[in-house]
Amino acid sequence: MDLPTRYDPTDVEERLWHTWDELWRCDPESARPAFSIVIPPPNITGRLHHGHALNNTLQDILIRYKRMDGSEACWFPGTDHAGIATQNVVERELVKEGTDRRALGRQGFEQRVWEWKERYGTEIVQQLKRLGCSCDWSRMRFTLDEGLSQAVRTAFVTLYREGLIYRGDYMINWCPRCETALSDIEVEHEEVDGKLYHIRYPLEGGGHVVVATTRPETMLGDTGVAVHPDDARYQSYIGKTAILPVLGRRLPIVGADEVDPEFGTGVLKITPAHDPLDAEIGRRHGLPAVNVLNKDGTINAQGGPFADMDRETARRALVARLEEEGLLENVEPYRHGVGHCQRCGVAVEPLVSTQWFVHMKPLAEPAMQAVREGQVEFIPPRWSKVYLDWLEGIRDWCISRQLWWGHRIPAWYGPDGEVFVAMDDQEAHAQALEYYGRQVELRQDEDVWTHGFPHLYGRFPSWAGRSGRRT
Amino acid sequence: MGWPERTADLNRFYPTSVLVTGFDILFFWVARMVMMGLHFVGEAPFRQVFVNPLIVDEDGRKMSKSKANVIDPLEVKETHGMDALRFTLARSATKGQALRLSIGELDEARNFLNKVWNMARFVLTSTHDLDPDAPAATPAWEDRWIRSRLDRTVRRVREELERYNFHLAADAVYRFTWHEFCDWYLELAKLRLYGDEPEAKATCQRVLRETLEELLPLLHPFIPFITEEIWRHMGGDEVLAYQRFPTPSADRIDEQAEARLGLLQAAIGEIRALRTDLRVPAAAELELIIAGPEGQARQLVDEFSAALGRLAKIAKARYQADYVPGGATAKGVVGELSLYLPVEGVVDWKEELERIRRELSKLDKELDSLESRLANEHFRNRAPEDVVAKTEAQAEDLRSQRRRLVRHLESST
Repeated sequence: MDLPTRYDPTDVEERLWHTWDELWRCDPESARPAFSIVIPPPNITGRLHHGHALNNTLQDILIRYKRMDGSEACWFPGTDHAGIATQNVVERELVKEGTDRRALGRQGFEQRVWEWKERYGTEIVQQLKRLGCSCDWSRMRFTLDEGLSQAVRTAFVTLYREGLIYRGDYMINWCPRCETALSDIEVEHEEVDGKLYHIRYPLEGGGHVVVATTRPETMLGDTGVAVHPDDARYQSYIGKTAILPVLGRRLPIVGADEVDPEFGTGVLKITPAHDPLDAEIGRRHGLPAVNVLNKDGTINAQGGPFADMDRETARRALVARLEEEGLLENVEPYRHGVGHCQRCGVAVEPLVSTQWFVHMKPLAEPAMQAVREGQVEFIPPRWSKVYLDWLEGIRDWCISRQLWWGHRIPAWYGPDGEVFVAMDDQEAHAQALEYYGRQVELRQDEDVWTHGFPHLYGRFPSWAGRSGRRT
Repeated sequence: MGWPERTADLNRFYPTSVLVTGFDILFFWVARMVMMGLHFVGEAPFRQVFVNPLIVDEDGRKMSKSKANVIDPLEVKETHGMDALRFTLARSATKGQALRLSIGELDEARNFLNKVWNMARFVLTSTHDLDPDAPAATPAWEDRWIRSRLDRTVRRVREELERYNFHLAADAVYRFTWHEFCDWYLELAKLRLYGDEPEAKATCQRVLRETLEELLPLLHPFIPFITEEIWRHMGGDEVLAYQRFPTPSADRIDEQAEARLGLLQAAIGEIRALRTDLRVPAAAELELIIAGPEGQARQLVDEFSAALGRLAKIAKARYQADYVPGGATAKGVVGELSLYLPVEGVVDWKEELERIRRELSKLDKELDSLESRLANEHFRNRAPEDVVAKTEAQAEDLRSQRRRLVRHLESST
């Protein structure tokens, strides 16, 4: 057969990819050495871009090479439900239609996201096939598939029973737009041109101290003032009381080593509900945490005259009020890092909230050891240092998200707030019956949780070992 | 894979061999998967993590929709095809953090695919009358050479893929296909294909066919569509994707043949450069006189005179140890050999020398500016590595051009 004179890639590629679907089926019983890759599942948020093309081309080169070289080479494909990212793109669609997720309700909204998933999930698979990816398509998974959901639930229940998952009130990153908690890695820090406000706090019995802050609106939640214990300028103030402007709250002045005498005036306002460092100082000195923000980032009732204003409005109103009262010393331009929600770009607020967390230390230790001992090898090797450094400094990981799209947290609450973590509703009720000695009504946690595993490693539908090898 | 149940898949394929991922999600899920995998299955979910680079544009900026510098796979599908995209990506996938991507490289990949297609067409057309039972002649130097080069390429591709050096693997197969098989072997093959010795022809046809049959599976992981299509036309009843990947075999490595062909390539390269320098009309056939070590000179004269004729338009090549060039004679150097091309009556010698003088002064200026750039600390430290390397290569190229031009002037005095 002669080849046509001219090579027409579009014609050839369009014709061939359709015929390849069934070719890549793998047989776990084969005698060949195993070579396997699990795809980093593309998010169903949209079409594939050049980054996916690169990542998947490289995987396919490896898989094809190993398959031809005599391995049972299995490439497990899948797509990721991508909780917050997908919820956001669908919400944007709804805005265009003049509605929102609350109007649709949880079920209606989930329905819309599933429709989105059908559309883009199918398109992504088609794009991968067109790229030539020789995945075993019979093993295609989606991270919200029933089988995987089972695995994810098992993971949660197991970690909870082992004491590695806990629920509590801790400082987290809050996105007021998405109205959900975020983990540290979902927050991007950007340098912004802000201002440093120098504000006068009167002292009980006369005189004043000056504090410096980039977020004056958070002073509504101040419950103390701190100075460095060795700072000669302020040592004598320790033990005295300052008065919070506008609200008149009494603020004990404490000494804390964390205060940097070089920053601003050397006097730190303490807002335990909205700053991790302040939370720590507050905890040591028994200062209460006063949350001043609503879920949507507006000021709550604690903010007195500024209640219901959004953050920006409250800031302007408060600064104007301080100026009126002669308490604003000066304002200087100041460049500083501000955390933004990776998904929607809105500035996040650190705040104390009731969330679910994973204890990282006991999990991180073996994960570091695996890399140190060469069980897992990074290529290029410089990445192992990045990985180890990150795990070294890791803090407990906030896993709950106030989203509607994702794996629902398998926790149920009794009338008194008692928590029952179980594989399903039935098991939760059985636990509750034992606990209360009678049938009670349980309420399942509204939130979803993010997970790293089992991801695509979870259960696949039962299938008989078949070889897809064309003979 | 079945967790929490111990399914056949989990037993067999867990841990996976490698995770290929961008570094942007290193923490998002690489670290998490290791932690959870160790905790739940008792073993990390993969043995290796290959961190692939991030794609940036020609100026090193991250590609984003807002900067309108995105190369969209959907568009590329229409303009270049997926094989071209795959090949471009593979050939650029170094172990650095950034991968520069430009439309120019996609064009280059498309040219390569056309080259592969035309190569296959040529081989198939030239071998359709191949009779497997026909008596064959002794393999020619170029047959031994291409087998040796192919063997080295197979080794190289395997080694580089095992080390995740996708760019080096793709580049090795690219250079072999284009610059060895197409540029040299196919050209030399024409001597026997169109010659009048049936046995020599049959030998050459066999090597052509064998090389194509081994090259296609070697190229396949990078460019699966075009190779599968060619394979289909060759009438294979199984898909190429399930053919064995070529394996190296030490008995194909042939240092002697590589040295022979290396000499021939260098001589032809030098003759072509001389012809260009002196603007010898393309059709003009010249005489070649070789001086220097007799052994090497004889190899060229006795074994490759037909090749010199076809590829460098040499009508007659001879060896003369004590050759003293007369007036209008171009002189070239290959190792210890001197190559002389009398051009009396073919070009206007005086005028050419005059032009060479002018060219030399122009070239000196260019070289000066390149060299002062290279001597500049600031440039060396700040410019991207590949730009510095490119400038260095340019300068080296000019220097070798310069050496040749100076030689013309010297030999004329």
